[in-house]
Amino acid sequence: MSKQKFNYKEAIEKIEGIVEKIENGEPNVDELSGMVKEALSLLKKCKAKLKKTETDINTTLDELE
Amino acid sequence: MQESLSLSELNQLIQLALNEQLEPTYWVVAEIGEMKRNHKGHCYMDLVEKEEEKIIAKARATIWSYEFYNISRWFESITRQELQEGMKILAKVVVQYHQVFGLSLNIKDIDPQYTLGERARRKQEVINQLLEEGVFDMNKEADMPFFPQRVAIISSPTAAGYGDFMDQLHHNPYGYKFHTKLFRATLQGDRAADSILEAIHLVHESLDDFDCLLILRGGGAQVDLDCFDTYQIAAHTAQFPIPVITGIGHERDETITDMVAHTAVKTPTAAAEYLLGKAMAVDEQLNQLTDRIQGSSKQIIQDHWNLIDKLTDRLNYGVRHEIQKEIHRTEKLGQNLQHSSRQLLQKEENTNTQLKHRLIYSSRNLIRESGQKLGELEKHLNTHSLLFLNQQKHQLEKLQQQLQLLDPINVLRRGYSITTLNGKILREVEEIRSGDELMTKTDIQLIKSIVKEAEKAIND
Repeated sequence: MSKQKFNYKEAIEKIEGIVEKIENGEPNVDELSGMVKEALSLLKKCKAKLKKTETDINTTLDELE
Repeated sequence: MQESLSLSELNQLIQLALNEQLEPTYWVVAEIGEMKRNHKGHCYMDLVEKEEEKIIAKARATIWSYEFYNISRWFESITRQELQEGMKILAKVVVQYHQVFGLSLNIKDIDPQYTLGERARRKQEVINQLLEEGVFDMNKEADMPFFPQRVAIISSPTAAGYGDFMDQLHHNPYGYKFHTKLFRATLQGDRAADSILEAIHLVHESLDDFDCLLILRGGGAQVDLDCFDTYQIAAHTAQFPIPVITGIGHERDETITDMVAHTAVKTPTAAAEYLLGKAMAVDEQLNQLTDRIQGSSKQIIQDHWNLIDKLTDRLNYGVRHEIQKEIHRTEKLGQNLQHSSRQLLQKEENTNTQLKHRLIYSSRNLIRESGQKLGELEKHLNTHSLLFLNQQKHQLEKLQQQLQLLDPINVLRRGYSITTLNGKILREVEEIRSGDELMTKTDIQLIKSIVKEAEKAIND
């Protein structure tokens, strides 16, 4: 299985999609658990990516000072 | 022998002729050639008339010291320039002829307006020429970098202005670094124009090394500014490929070079400030851009943290809500089920009870009715059966009687007889032949007989 590079934008869009579906009451009980798990996993990755980006930018900006 | 005069006699004649023929004074237009002042303050000069650089007329001229003071002061106040060589003037002269010193013109007055006008006219001529050639604004359109760092300087190393400028620029408190190169020129005297032009050409040869050219003159005699009004220098400046900054130090009028240059400043300090200002602007801009980058990217990241938080909340809430909904739904279903089944049961029970009651009621009814009916039937039966029995009895009796009558014995008793042939009654026998043995039974006798004859009887 090819390892796909983590795409923040796509992840956020996916999470939003899942949240909307849940808010609209679409998934049944069987699907719900799986969807929530996926959303949480993506959220975790997004947070990590965001944290890394923040650190990188701060480092770069500090160099400018 | 020729008739001759002595020299003095000749000179006297000349003197007389001049005195007679000439007006006391003349206003004459001429150019100042060489000019000197002696220790007493008297001014001695040559007045010349030129036609395309060639001198076609010349005369010596004097201004006595006591007159010189007034004339020159007035001249300077109007033209803002000292009387100097090369200037064209309108002078009121007295033609003087001295037997020893010859012809000379004594200047009594000089009209500064003429010189002013003359200067202005010449200046305007140069400007017009530059405009016609379309080069007047060219240097203004030259590309001045945001931060000009490499500056070619045309100046004199001894000029005070140069020293000040270099000090201010290279020792600026902000730490901005500049690269300057001096192209020497003499800025004073009649060699000034040529020297400056040479320097301009030198700079032109290494054009790629510089961002701009600075012509720096710290101040000095007004007269030295004239070269900057000449066509040559102005034209070269106007058409110079990189922007030119002039710090020529004019006091009043802009020179043409100032007008055509990209930027004109008044003093060397102003020139340094101009360059430092450019550097500061870029520095400031870079700082601002850095701040903006910092601010914006922080904002973006913050927005995304907020988004993630929001999504997490929505997810949480959404899921809980959904689960709660399902719980309620199943509870409700459960309740409905309970309710419905109770209802159903209740209904069934009711139906059952009803049925039971109906059954009981009906069966009781039935029993009662049956009982009633039975009673009636019994009664009927009783009544009718008696009747019936009697009837039957009668019938029986009748039948008995009939039977008795019909009983063959009784028939016999009445006198009838039965005849049989071989045990069978005659009715049944087909043929009777004579000789058959007949048995005839009567009431009291049994007769045996033999047949004589038999024939079929006709029943009437």
